Amino acid sequence: MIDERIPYERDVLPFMRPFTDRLVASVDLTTISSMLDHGAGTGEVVCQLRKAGYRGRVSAFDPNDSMASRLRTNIVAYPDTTVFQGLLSDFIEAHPSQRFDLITSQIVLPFVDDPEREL
Amino acid sequence: MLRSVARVGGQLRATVLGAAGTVEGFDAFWESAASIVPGLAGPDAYPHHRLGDPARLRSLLQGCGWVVDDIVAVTSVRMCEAEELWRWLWGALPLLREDGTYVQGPERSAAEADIETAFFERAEGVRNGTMFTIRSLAHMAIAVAGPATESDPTGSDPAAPDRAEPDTSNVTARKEP
Repeated sequence: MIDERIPYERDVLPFMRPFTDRLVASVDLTTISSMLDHGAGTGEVVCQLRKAGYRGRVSAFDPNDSMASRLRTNIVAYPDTTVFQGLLSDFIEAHPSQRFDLITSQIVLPFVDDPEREL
Repeated sequence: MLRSVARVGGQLRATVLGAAGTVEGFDAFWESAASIVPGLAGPDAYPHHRLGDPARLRSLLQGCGWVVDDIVAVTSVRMCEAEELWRWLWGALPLLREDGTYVQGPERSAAEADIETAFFERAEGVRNGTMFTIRSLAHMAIAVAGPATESDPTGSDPAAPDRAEPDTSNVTARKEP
C-alpha cells in the first residue's frame, strides 16, 4: 500500500498528536457553530474536531501551497468546510464579515513575523 | 488580527497548550542547531520561538486583549532521539537561506537532503547535547471567542484590549509524565 502522506504528516504530526488531542478535548463542541483554523497545515486539527463530532462551519487556511493543497484533500469528505490559501491578512481581506466562535492555532505563532499583530 | 474575526460580542478567551520550556532552553536549542545545520542562524534569528515559554505566551496574549483561561504545559511529546529530532526539524522548520528567504519547491528537496546529511554526521554529538530541549518548541494556542459571561453581561468589545494586570491565580501548569 502506497503511503501518500507528505513528510510533514508522516514525520511531524505523530509528535504533535498529544497536543492536538488535548486541543480537541478542551473544546466544548456544543457551544460553537463556526470555527477558523489559523494556519491549518494539512488539516490535523480540523479533521480531529470533525471526528470528535463537530458539525459546524469550518474555514481553514494556510499560506503554504503544498499544505493548502493537502488540506483540501484531507478535508474533502467533510461538508461546510472551506479552504483558503494565504496569510491571515489575506483571509480577512477576502472574508471581511466572517466571525467565528472558535479559533484554533497550532504551531503558528513562532513562525509569523509579528505575533502581536497576528493576535 | 485574530481578534477581528472573533465572534462579535463574545469575550476573547484563550486556552493555551504550551510547553514547559524556558527561554534558556530555546536559546540552547537554537545554539546547538546552528552549530549543526549549515546556514541556520542562532537564537536571535528566531525570537518568536521563545514564545513557547508559558509566561511569555501568556503575557503576549493578555497584552493583545485575550483572557487567558489556562496554560497547560505538555511535555510528553517524544522527541528524545536524534533521528526523530531531525524528522521533526525537517517537516516543521521553514528552511531559511542565509539571506532570510524561504526555500520552497524543487530547491527545497535538495536543501533538505543537504541538511539531513549534515545532521546525521553530527548526530552522535546531538544525542548528548542540549538539542533535546526541542520539545520546548512544540507549543500551540487554542483561542476561543465564547459568549459573554455573567461577569460581562453586555459582552466585551473585541476591539478593546484587556488592560488588566496579568492574573496568574487561575493559570495552571500541568506536566505530563
